[in-house]
Amino acid sequence: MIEPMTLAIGGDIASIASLIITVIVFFQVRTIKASLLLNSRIPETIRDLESASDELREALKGWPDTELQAKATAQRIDGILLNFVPKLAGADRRKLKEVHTLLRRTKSIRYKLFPQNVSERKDAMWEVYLTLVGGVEVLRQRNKDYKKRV
Amino acid sequence: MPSERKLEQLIRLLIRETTEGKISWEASSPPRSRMTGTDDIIEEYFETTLKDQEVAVFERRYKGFNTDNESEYWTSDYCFAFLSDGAITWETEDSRLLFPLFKVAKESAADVDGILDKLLE
Repeated sequence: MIEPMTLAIGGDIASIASLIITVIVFFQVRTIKASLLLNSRIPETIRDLESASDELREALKGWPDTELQAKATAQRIDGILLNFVPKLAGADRRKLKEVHTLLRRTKSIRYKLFPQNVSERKDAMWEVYLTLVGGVEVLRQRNKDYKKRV
Repeated sequence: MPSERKLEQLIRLLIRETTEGKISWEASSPPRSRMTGTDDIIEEYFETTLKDQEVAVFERRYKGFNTDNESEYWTSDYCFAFLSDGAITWETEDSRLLFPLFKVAKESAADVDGILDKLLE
């Protein structure tokens, strides 16, 4: 015969265990949802960043006449990354954050980090472009792996 | 294995010099030795010379195998190679910048800018 006290303790343990399981499942569902949303957004982000990087390369061809155009494109890239980078994790995040940091650096006039002469400004923009295309490639590979898994 | 940093530096240099029109690429066929004894398909292959060193970039298409659903699928990688007397002496696929390099090499070989300028004159 099981004593009522033992049954009560058993019930307490079971409810604590089920609470823990519920919390774990809640966080797992949240992670899966975030990952699904992120993966569905990646192809569109790749397209946007690719088109922006092509524009930036075109602007670099005509430097310094096209410097303003390059700055406008850089601003657009900054906007895309600002929204997208926080959703990434690990190496993907590091690579794209690097682009974001470089872009910020080219704009930091206040701290006198902004390259002053035309050739330095061009080199800085080239650095942004080359880091960006590397970052886009990281996303492309991630997308390829995801497609293979699905 | 050469240092990854040096390889990336070289590829960055090639992308920049190509974009600025300082070097140009030519579409060509891959060396026969590269195509013998392999199922790889190389349709787009571009070569140039930098400081007397011949280099090439190309797209290698091949069939992959998915172990999860046991099916074959087509995929591709971008490769970069050093050449000597027309034969590949070393090649790699290990750089994130190979697709951007392939893209600028293809544009250069097709002389896209030249054609556009001519058509818009």
